[in-house]
Amino acid sequence: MRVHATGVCFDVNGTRLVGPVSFVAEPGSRLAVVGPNGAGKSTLLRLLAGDFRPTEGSVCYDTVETTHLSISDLATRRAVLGQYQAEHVAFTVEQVVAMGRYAHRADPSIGHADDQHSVVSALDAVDLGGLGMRAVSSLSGGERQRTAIARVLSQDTPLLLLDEPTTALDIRHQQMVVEIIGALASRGRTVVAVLHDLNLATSFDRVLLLSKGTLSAHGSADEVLTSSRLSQVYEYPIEVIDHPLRSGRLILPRPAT
Amino acid sequence: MTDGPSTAHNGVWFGLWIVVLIGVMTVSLMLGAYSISPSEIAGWISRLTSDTPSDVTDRVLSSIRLPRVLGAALLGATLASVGAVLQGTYRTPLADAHLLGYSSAAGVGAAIGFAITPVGGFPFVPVFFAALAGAIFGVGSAALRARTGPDRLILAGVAFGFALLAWTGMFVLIVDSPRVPTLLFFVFGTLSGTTWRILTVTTIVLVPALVMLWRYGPGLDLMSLGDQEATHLGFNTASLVPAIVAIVGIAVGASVVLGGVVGFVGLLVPFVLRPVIGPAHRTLIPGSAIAGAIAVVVFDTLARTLAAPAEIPLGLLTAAVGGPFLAWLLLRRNPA
Repeated sequence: MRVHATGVCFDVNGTRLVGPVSFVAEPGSRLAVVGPNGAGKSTLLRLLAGDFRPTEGSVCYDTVETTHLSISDLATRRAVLGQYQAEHVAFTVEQVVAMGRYAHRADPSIGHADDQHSVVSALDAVDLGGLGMRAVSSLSGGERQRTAIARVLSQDTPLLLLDEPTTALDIRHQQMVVEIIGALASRGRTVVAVLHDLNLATSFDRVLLLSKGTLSAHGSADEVLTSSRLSQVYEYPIEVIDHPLRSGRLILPRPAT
Repeated sequence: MTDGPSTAHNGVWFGLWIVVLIGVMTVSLMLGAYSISPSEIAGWISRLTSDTPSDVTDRVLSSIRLPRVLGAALLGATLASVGAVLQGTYRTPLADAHLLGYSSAAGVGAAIGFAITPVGGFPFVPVFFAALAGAIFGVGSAALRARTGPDRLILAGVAFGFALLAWTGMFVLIVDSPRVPTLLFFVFGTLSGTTWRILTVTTIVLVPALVMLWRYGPGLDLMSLGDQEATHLGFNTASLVPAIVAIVGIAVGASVVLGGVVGFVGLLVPFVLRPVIGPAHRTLIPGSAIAGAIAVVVFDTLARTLAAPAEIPLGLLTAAVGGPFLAWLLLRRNPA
């Protein structure tokens, strides 16, 4: 699904939090949204999700504006991974992942074969196959995050909006999430992810750099993630070097002298 | 996928509970100021389908005991079900129609409704007024839900509950009409005045209300993840939460006309049940209904037998058990 943001602005009590932001994310592409704390990344993601109505401009899924879609229509088009996951959830991992199927079912209480397949494959994808019957409240932070990712996967939507998907994950599971995102894109899904780890952003097709709510740069990772631009936006010296072990870049804070 | 510990496991529990419910209802029919033996109950059932003239026992069973026992079951099913629904909606085991003030709000409506209803008439007006008051209070309370945490909302509900109950009490004393139930009915709750008419009218309201709440079960499951997550998954919390609490308010209103203000059943039953049958509302709501029915039939039987021929108000007994339980719930380490 093509996501088209046109001059999107969002104001709260007369203060502009985001905008104007314009970009297009094509089907099968991965877009990383990066920027310092308070740059408006999560707000932009929620504007893309249809949680907030833009004060100006519009967000379209293909040709349909998000403001014209109902809550259930939105749920069949985009899945959202929020920044925080509820801790005190008495449901099992499997039940929470099955909740991703809610919008697809006429009677959500009945376990259809499609649902069963989606839930099992989502659990396997995030390496939670053995924890299906555990209560979410008994999981570690990383396991809870993977459960939330599995729930997003089981929602099986053409667009995935992920807010810091690698939060609380160890390095192996961070790479696993990057691979999942790559696999989703190769199957034609559009993925937009807010990321704090700039090195993860280097593996994305496009990068959108936000600064104080506005679009600082948008393009390929090589174009956007430059030492001078990052140092300026993050107000901290940042070095971008060639990766010593593979093609691509490595982004590091410059050691203090 | 499972809706709880396991579907078969729950099937066994449900079957067992229904047998227990029928058992306690039968025992409840036998006990009271006028004892009735099992053979007399059997005789009464056989005479229901024949032309044999009825005796005193038959009249006690048909006119007094049976509507009361059925009323107790309906009241318990309602209180426990709405407790489960409110706990899902407010995401706290402390949510209960009594603590949140719904019951007291419905009490005001019921008192006004009774005052303008002819003696012996079908209590459509009290049910309407109580349901309306309960629904308005519920929707108002839910509107504040997003702004304040559930614990503060419950404290506000307790405060409103006291005030509303005081207004009900003053109204009952000022009107002093035989049409209006006694103050005891509104303060402590009792099923002593249950008639076929009250049972009929409240059943007409309660059965569809409980079925509608049950249908919202999967959406309530999603709400355990948070309002935002539930909305992302396709459950429109902004419009459906007010609808759910309005139905809860209507159900609580009808339950107040049936048995007055009875607390703690909605708090206790879902809490005890959740670890046994799981948190999924499609099973928790009917499970709570059956277990709540059992609990209130037992409590009401104790209410009219422990100090016979005097009667202990039903709400006193539920509060005697529920009060310490609430204190424990508030003081324990893990709030969820």
